[in-house]
Amino acid sequence: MNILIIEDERRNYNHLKRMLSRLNPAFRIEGPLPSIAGTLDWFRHHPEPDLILADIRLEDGLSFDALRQLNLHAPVIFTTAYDEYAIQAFKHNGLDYLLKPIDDGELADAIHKAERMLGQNTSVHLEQLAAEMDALRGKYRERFLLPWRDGWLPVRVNEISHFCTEDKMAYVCLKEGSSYATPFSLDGLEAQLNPRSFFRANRQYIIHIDSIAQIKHFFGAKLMVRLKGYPDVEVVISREKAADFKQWLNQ
Amino acid sequence: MLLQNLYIHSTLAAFITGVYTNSVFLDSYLEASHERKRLESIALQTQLRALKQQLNPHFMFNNFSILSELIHENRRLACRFLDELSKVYRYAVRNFDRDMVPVHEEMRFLDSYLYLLSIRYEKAIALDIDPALKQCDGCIPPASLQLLVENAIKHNRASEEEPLHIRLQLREAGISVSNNLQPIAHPPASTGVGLRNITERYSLLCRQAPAIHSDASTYTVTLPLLPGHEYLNN
Repeated sequence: MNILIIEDERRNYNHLKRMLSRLNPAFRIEGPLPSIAGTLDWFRHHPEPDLILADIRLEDGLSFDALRQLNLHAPVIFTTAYDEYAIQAFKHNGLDYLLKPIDDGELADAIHKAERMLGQNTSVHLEQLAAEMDALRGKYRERFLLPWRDGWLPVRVNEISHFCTEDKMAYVCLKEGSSYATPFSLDGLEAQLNPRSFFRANRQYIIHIDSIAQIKHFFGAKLMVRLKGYPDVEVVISREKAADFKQWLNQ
Repeated sequence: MLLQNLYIHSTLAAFITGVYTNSVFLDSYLEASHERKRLESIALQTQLRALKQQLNPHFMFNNFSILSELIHENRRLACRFLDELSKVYRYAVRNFDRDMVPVHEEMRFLDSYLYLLSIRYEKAIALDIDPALKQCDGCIPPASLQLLVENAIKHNRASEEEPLHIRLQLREAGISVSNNLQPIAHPPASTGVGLRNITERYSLLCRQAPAIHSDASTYTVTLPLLPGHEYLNN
């Protein structure tokens, strides 16, 4: 995560930087930008960071003035000595509002909030984009109509944890724990499912990317996958498929 | 004879009653006027008390924030910083509710205050203090010099490239606090409150008022010096 710090007092910047590096040494920290003018100039030459930590009183005015002109998407965590600006802060992408001297725990909470928000935002965004593209192509299923009791049950593909076969019957198992028989074979299902979201692990299983809980090395260069909500299920991925599987997860 | 006596007696009685009544009226008149003066003085005291400064909470929290970093960076500096911060706070607790303080006391407080600023702002603020101020005899309302310095920082840009120069001088008209003008674009909402506060305190204490002089490049406020002895006891 790239974090930009807007702050006009060198020691406050050093303090924040140290605390952030302790939270996660992989954070890339940029700044400090001590003024409105400096901030506007920086954004002319740099891409938008993932997150901004901004002091409110800068050398030449309030950081709100810079943020208003820049109209950024990145969330902002405001840091200030006193709370008279809280209301204004929330009008400027304010994700949180930390009072100086900044408490380690409060900073950690704010950063985690930002990470959650950024993670969700990007994945939801990409997932939607991918789903929309696939839907445009008319290629993959968005839902199944499953026979259930004396009627039918519509199930969206996003609700599915995995498909499996047992005694030559294919079952669809949902993330919330219930499972239903399907009239399809796994081969037939594989062709209808978006390969971005589903992976044919072996002859018995097709798994959804979001239901993977844990991956372990297994003997013979195989992998063993455990699924969220299904603690008894062990999905073994063969040596031949292991590389594809990792690439699929890493896409 | 008896009649004459009675007449004298009654006249005397009337006179005495009159005097007595008058004196009662006079007493109550004096009392009322005294009461009015007392109330006026209470009103003035109340106004003055309302105008007395508190240490700005921003100021304390900003300094705590710097201190928390100094502890990592340089422990000796952190100790010195804490010492000066304590002096500032102690002065505020002891003296901010006085009407007047001797300039040399205010200068000791200002020294600590300026030390804290110099650690925080480093080369962004350049200070020039007239040494004569430390031997100066007069009095000023407490925290008024500090308030003027704070105002200068609040309303002007201060950076290493464009330092804010703040100058304190002893002059015939009083103590002048001046700074080079490099105003920030959108000063905070509280603009003018600090200076108005000092002016009102002066108007409750004496007939003099701070003088403000501003030209294209410099802004100066001059605080008149007051003779201390009349005020020091209240």
